[in-house]
Amino acid sequence: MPQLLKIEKLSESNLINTAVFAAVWGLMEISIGTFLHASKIPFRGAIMSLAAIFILVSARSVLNYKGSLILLGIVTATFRLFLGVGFNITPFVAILIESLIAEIILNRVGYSRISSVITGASVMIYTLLHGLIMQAVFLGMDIYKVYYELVLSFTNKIGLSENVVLIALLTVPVIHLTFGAISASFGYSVGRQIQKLMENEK
Amino acid sequence: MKYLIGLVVLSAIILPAKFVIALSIIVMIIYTRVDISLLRLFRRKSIYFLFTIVVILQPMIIGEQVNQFLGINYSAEALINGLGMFCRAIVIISSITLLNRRTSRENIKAFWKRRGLEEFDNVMHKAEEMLPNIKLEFNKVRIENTSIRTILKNPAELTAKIIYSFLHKPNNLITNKLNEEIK
Repeated sequence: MPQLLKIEKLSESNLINTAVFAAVWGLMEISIGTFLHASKIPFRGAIMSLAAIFILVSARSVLNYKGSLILLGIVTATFRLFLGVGFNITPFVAILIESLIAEIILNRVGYSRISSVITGASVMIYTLLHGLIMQAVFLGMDIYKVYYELVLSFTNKIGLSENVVLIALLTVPVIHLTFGAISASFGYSVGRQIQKLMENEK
Repeated sequence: MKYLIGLVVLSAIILPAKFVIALSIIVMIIYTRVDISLLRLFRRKSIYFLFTIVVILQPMIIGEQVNQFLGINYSAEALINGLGMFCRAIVIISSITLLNRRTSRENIKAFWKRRGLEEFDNVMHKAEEMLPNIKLEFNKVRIENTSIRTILKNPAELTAKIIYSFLHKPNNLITNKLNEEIK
């Protein structure tokens, strides 16, 4: 089996700092994730993604080695797999892909507020698609047709115009992107503050 | 067993709906012989919600509704398709649940190590050690540094302070213990 994720031996500080962020993210996944799972609140995945964006962006200020965010995501996803409640494979996949997106963007573009906001928005776009992709995997592509017909028959019955439906459907991604950007920007601010504290320590 | 589960999942994804129905019956009989608790899946409300959408509602809105049952028109083709979709979901969910139950942490660690993540085991181990303490320490640092005014004034600074207290520093009390263990 090929080695796809070659990450060199970590220094002591990188190892501990990665473990710290993984533990914080893992704790969020287990505590908030369990609460959301039990409460059946809609958009649970989006709420967890906001936490993921915050952790990934702020972690990047400390973890500078290549593949750091992927390793962070893998450790957290493994926590979720073994310690989380409910059916854990979909959050497992989501965490892995979110960390992959963050790793690619923050490594390619560099660490700045703009790249962080792009990361936040991209992760939220994936979060929106995640549910649809997973439903296609579990139920097949026909599920889209079912949803389309259901929405169509529902809107026809209550007499909503096509424009109103379109606006309502577009509002969801816009809200997702906005919150993703806010979370990323906050994560960046926290990251900068951590960097300042580290510089002061020296 | 893991290869067999993989094959079952792949077959459920690839095969047409009418074959998936037959496959799911055989697979579920085998799975329940391996682990009877897999049937707990049918206690979930979400499964019945799914059943309502794909098996009951779908035949009434998709396809040609030429058949009739209790005065309700439905499409037989859509009904078979819906049953196939439902069975496919049941097979995939059960397969993954079974695979998850039969996979130990050691298997996962070995899996990531084979893919080049040499440090996965160490990071996982340290994170696991920190997990119970981090909540206690988190509350302690929060109480020490917090007033409502500070939170509202600069939430980023406060959050940074909380996270920073756990990070690796030469004179950090929390991480010193871990450093010694590494050495």
